[in-house]
Amino acid sequence: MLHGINVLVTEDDKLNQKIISFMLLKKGATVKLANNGHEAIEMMGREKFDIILMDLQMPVMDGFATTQYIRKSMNSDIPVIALTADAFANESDEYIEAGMNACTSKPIEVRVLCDLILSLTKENQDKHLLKPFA
Amino acid sequence: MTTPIVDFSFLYDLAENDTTYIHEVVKLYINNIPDGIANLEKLINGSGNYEAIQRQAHSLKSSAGIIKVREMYDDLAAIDSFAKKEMEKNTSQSGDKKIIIGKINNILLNFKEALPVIVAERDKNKPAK
Repeated sequence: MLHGINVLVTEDDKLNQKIISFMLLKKGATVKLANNGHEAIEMMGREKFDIILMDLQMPVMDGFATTQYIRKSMNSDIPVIALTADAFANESDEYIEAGMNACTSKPIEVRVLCDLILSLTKENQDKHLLKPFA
Repeated sequence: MTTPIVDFSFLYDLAENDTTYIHEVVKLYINNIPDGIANLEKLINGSGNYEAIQRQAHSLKSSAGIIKVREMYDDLAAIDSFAKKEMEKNTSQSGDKKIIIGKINNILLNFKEALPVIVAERDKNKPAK
């Protein structure tokens, strides 16, 4: 289902890292882990990712600051999905304002996460394919 | 009917029949969560550092849905929310801490009952050597 998709999971909690990476690997994605936003930015400089799963509350550099940096300083439009422990985060605009594309609550549902990854990576791929003709 | 003290359904649905994975997740949970709860108790009964309380409650909340201990998610959400409100206040007047003291005591009580069940689940799934 997610074959050929390279996912950067930015999450400080080891238990959540284990859950999310297991879900994604089972669906065929390639997974890399960053423990905070600073690490994620460094990894983006070394490797090309298709999508980022971004925890919001992390030490060193949180999900909001990291996404803002990715959008403004790195000028990247890579899709970013916010991961939050708040059950009603979808009702907040805070993550959209920070430049994230979508939000999902923990514990994450496999089907919801896969659907989001597929639709956002496809949308981004289509946008890049159309660019030369725009 | 009483809610069971621990609900492993999320983990079992995810792992399917991978007992090694279940063992690893439960082991990680046991290695992390009790220390987090102890730290939260210390913070709540201590100086009133609401930023630290909020961070710790929020962190525990993000794991509370993986192995569900009775009422733990809701109690942590209440502590998280209370601490957030305290952080946003401009006055030095604090809210009534009795509410979150009650919540942490309930977490401690439920977790004490849940821990032997969680340990048994870890051992049940231990891979054969």
